[in-house]
Amino acid sequence: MRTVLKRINQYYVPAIMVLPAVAMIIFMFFSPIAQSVYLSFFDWNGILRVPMRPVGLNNYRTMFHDAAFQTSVKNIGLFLLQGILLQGPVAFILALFISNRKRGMRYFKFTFFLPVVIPLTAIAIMWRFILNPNWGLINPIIRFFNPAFNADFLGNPQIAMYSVVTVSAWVYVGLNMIIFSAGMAAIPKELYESAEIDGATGLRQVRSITLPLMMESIKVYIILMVTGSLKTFDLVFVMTRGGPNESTMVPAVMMYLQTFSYSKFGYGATIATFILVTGLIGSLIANRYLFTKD
Amino acid sequence: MRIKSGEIAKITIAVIWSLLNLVPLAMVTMGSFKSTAEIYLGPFALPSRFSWENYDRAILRSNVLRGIFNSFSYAIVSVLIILALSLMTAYVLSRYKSRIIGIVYILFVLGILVPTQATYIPLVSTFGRYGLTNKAFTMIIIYVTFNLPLSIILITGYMKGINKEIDEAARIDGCGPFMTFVWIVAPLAVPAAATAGILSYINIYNDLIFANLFISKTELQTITQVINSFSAQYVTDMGATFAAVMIAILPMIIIYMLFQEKVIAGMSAGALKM
Repeated sequence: MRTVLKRINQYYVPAIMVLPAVAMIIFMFFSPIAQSVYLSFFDWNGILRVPMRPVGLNNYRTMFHDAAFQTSVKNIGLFLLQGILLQGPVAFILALFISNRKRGMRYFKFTFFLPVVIPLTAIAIMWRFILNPNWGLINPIIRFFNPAFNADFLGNPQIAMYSVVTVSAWVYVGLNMIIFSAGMAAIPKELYESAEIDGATGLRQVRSITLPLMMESIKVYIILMVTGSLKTFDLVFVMTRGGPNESTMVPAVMMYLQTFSYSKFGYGATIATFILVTGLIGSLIANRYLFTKD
Repeated sequence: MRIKSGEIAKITIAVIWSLLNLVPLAMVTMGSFKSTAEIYLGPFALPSRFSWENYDRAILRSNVLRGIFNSFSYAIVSVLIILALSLMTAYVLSRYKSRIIGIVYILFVLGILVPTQATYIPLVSTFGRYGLTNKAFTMIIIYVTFNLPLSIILITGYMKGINKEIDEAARIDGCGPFMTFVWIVAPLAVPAAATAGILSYINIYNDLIFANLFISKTELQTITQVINSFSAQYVTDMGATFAAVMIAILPMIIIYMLFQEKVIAGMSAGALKM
């Protein structure tokens, strides 16, 4: 009797405790992923009565030749470029600013992080207004210096994507500031103290101590930029829906539109598989860095 | 001298960036009290008089209140289920060792790493096949599933740090594993559960894509869906759009003000684990 009870306690109780979560993740997460990959080899309009038609690698061929898909990959590159030139440096400087300081930081931290907390849908609506050429906020400010200036930030295909990535930087600087400041907190204080004795201060300290010791965080940040931009949906979907002329297309929005607006379920699944493979590779590399850091 | 100029540069950038973060929000707040004519006149002018008309119109013409209620309900019910399931799972993952436990752990890590986009199409067709779209129940199941992995990994990490001698003491006193979990380990893991709960809450409240995939009925729409369609439908009524946006973001800002540290910690843990 006692051994039976012990058995129950040792195996069955823990098994029952993990079962609901495991079942949910297998049936609602991993099984749909496998179905997505499978579906990417078929042509299907999403209607149950209509049979799926196997097309081999055709969807992949179409995808790589699709101008909109090429734009969406290029746009991921633009996200990355923005991350290196704008979001990363600003986040880094703000992280320097909030570390080593105690007074008044609650206000700054609060405002820097604020955009991360607000629904992206609301942010996208807000920025659509700010960037509007007729009654927005940006044009009048620039016209203050150059009265002839007029730009349709989201309507002009040449510049629309630059506007989108800038808004994305506005949203995520706060989050990356926290990631960088966590990296900075891990640097031993003694290094700065001995640098001070050697006469290295300010920028010199940042260049020869902070930056090199944060290389790991920075690598992780760059990979997070890639995986993050692969997943970008809300911001683009609400601000531009990938337009004008598909100039602001990103993979997740393209997958959504192809599947649910044009009823190309097989093709949508192909784009989903692309996001899956690229995102997974990116995350695995990022995690290698995270694990080697520990 | 050198330190000083560096300091000044840092402070300048910090002040400019904090203004850049506040100005758009100030503009929406101000715009939500202006008449539409005043909004078109210029973004910097203060409203001539303080009126709630925009809010009246936003509430009458759209489902903002219903949307807030729906988003709140989905989020709160989902968070409660997420916490119950992930505390239990994390307890087992942190207290037992076997090959199967190792595999289960990796399953949840993969659940964080794999982009969720790859699940949308089959989920929609499967749920559609069984007539499960446009159901509050479906939204809750979906939100629970997609927030579980991160919550489990965060709480497991925390529970591993709780001294195991405590549960051994409980076991000697005659507590079975489930009772040890309920009375000893779960209460000690409350800080991690709070972080995971707030993170999941924010993710669910701010979600747009899952709602778009599974909900089309207006009575069941989330607040993000409501403001998205409202802003598209009433493009010219900027005042009411601003009012709707204000109603949508206010609950988030209040939560953020109340739990600033927890929110920041949770969101950054979430970002790093992605």
